Amino acid sequence: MTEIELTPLLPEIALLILGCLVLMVDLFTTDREKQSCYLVTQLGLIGIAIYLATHLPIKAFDYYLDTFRVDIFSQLLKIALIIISTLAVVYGRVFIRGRKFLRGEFYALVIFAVLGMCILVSGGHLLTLYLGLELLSLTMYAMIAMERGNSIGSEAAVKYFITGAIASGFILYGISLIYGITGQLGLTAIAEAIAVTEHPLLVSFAMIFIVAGVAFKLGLVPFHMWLPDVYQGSPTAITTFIASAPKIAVFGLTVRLLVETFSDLTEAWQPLILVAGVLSIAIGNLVAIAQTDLKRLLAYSGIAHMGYMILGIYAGGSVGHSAAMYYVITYALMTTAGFGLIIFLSRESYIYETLDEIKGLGRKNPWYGLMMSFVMLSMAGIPPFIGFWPKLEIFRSLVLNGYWQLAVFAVIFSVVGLFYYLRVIKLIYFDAPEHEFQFVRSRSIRFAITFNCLALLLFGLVPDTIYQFCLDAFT
Amino acid sequence: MSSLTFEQLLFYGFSGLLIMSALMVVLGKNSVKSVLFLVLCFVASAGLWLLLRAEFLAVALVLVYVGAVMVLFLFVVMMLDVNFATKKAGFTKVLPLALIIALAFLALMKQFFNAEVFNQLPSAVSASDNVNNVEQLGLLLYTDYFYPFEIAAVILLVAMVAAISLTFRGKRNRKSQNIDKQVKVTKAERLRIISFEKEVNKEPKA
Repeated sequence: MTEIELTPLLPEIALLILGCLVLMVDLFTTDREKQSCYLVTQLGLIGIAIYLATHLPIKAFDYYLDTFRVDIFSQLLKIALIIISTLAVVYGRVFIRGRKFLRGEFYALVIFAVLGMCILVSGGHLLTLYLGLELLSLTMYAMIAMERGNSIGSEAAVKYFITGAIASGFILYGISLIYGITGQLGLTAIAEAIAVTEHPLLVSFAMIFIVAGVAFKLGLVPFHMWLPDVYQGSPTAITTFIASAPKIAVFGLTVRLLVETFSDLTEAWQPLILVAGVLSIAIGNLVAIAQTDLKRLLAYSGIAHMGYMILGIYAGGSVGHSAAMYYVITYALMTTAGFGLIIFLSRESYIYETLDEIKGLGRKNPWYGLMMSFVMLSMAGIPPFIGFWPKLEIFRSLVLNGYWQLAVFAVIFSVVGLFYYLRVIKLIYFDAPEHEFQFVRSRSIRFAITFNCLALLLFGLVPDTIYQFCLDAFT
Repeated sequence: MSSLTFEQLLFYGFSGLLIMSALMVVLGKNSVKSVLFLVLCFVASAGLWLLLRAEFLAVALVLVYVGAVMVLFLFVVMMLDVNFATKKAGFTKVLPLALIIALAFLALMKQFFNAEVFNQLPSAVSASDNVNNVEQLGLLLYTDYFYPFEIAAVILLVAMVAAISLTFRGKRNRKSQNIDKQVKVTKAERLRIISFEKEVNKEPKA
C-alpha cells in the first residue's frame, strides 16, 4: 500500500473538524446566544486562514489522482473567502441574536459552506468540483430557510432550491457528456483529450450545459431571475453570506472549467459569456434604477458586477483573469459591507429595508451615513475607493485585447449605475429624516462596519496590495 | 435480419420498462402512483446494471432505494396528501413551448450522437473476467477516490444537520410533576410577605 500524503489537505480536514467541533460545543453550552460556538468558529476560521497564508505553495500540484489541486490561485481564493466569511459571521451573529435561529447550527453550517467552497476552488476533478458545489448549495438552501416563522425565507429557499437543482442538473448533464466523449474526469486529462478529440462539436454541446450551470450560480443574466428574490427573501444575515463568499468560490470554478479545462474551446465559450456579461451589465444596472428595496437594489447591482467580472474572463490572458479575480474579491468585500450596514440598521423586529426608510440617515447619524456612502461610492467605482481599480483593470484588459467597443459599453453602463448609487447618497444626506433611527446595540458590529468600510477606502488608496496577489495567481 | 440474443432482449425489455415507468412518474395524476412507478424505475435500472455485471450496485440499489428510501418517500407523500391535479392547471398552457424545446433538443442530440461517440469509455466488465464487484468498488472508493468519497460523507452529514435545524422546534416542556422539587420546597420559596404602604386617596386637583 502506498502512503497517502495528507499535509496539502490539512486546511480542509481542519475545517471539517472545526464544523463537527462547533456542533459538539453547541450541544454542551447552556448559553442561549452560543457565544462559545461563535468564538470557536471565528478563531478556527482565522487560524486556518493564517495557516493558508503562511503555507502558500510555490507551484501548482495535483494530489490524489488529480482529485485535489493546490496552486497559488486556489490558496489565495481560500484565504479571501475565509476572511469574507468571518466578516459575514460577525454581522450574522448580531442579526440572529434575538431572532428565531438555531445559533449553533448557523455557525456549523457556515463552516460546512466554507468547506464546500474550499473544495470547489481546489478541485482538479469534475467529481470533486461537483461535490463541492453541492455541499455549498445544500448548506445555503438550509440556511435561507433557517429562520423560524419567516415564510418569505422559506419561499426564497424553495425558489433557490428548485432553480439550483436545475442548474446542478445542467452541470451534471454536461459532465456526463464530457465523460462519455473523453472517458476522463480529471481536468488535466480532459483538457488533453479535448485537444485531440474527434467530436469537437459534441464537446462544445456538453460545454454549453456546464457554462449555463455556472452562469446560474454566478447569477448572470439569462439565469438571474432567482437572485433578487432570494437576496430579498432570505434573512439578511444569510444574504450577507450568500452574496459574498460563494461568488469567489464560483469564480474559482469558472476559471477551473473554462480557462483551465476548456482552453481549446475558447472560441466556443467566449461568445456565450460575452452575451451573458453584456446582458448582465445592461439589465442589472437598468433594473436596479427602478428598485425601491435596498436588498433588491444590491442584488441587481450584484448581477451587473458579475457581468463586469465575466468580461475580464472574456478578455482572457493573465491580465484579464487577474482583473476578474481582483474584481470578485473586491465585490465580495463591498457587498459584505453593504449588507452588513442593512443588518446594522435593523431592530429586533424590523429592518429598514426600503430606500424611503433610510432617508436622512446622514443627518441623524453622520458617521454611519458616511460609511453607507463609502459603500455606494465604492460600488459605483469612484476613484479613491477600491471599487474603481478592478473596474479599471477590466476595462484595461478589454482594451489591451482589442475589445474597445466593449470597454466603451461597460463605461457607459457604469455611468448609468452611478445614478442609483448616488441616489442612495442623496437620500441619506439631502432628504429630511422621517423617523428616529435605532441601530443594533452591539459594539462588535460597529467596529466591523467601520473596519469594513474604511478598508474600502484604504485598499483603494493602495490598490496594489490585493492586485499583486491576483497577478501572482495567474503567472 | 439478425435475431436478438437473449441479453439484448433483456436489455430492451428493461430499457423499455425504465422509460415507460419514468414517463408515468412525470405524467401520473396520482402522486402515490408516481412514487410507485419511481420504484419500478429503480428496479428496471437495477436490472440494467445486472446486465452490465455490476451485481453489487444492482443489489444495493434495490436494497437501499427500493427497500428503504422509496418506502419512506411513499409514507411522506401519503401523509402530505397534496392534490397535484390543481397544481397542474397551467400545464397545457406551457405544453406547446415545452414540446418545441424538447423536440429541438432531441433533433440536436440525434445530430450529434452516433455509435462511435462514446468509444472512449472504459468497457464494461466482460464475462470472462473473474473479478469481485465489491472488492473492486471498495478498492476504488477507499484508495483512488477517497477524497470525493469523504466529501460525499460530509454532504450527508450536512444534510442531516440541515434537516434537523429546519424541523427542530426546541425543547418541549413537559407538564409533569417533579416530586423531588415539590417535597424539598420551603416556606421561603412559596410565601412572600409584602407590606403595602397605606394608600391615601388624594382628591384630584380641580
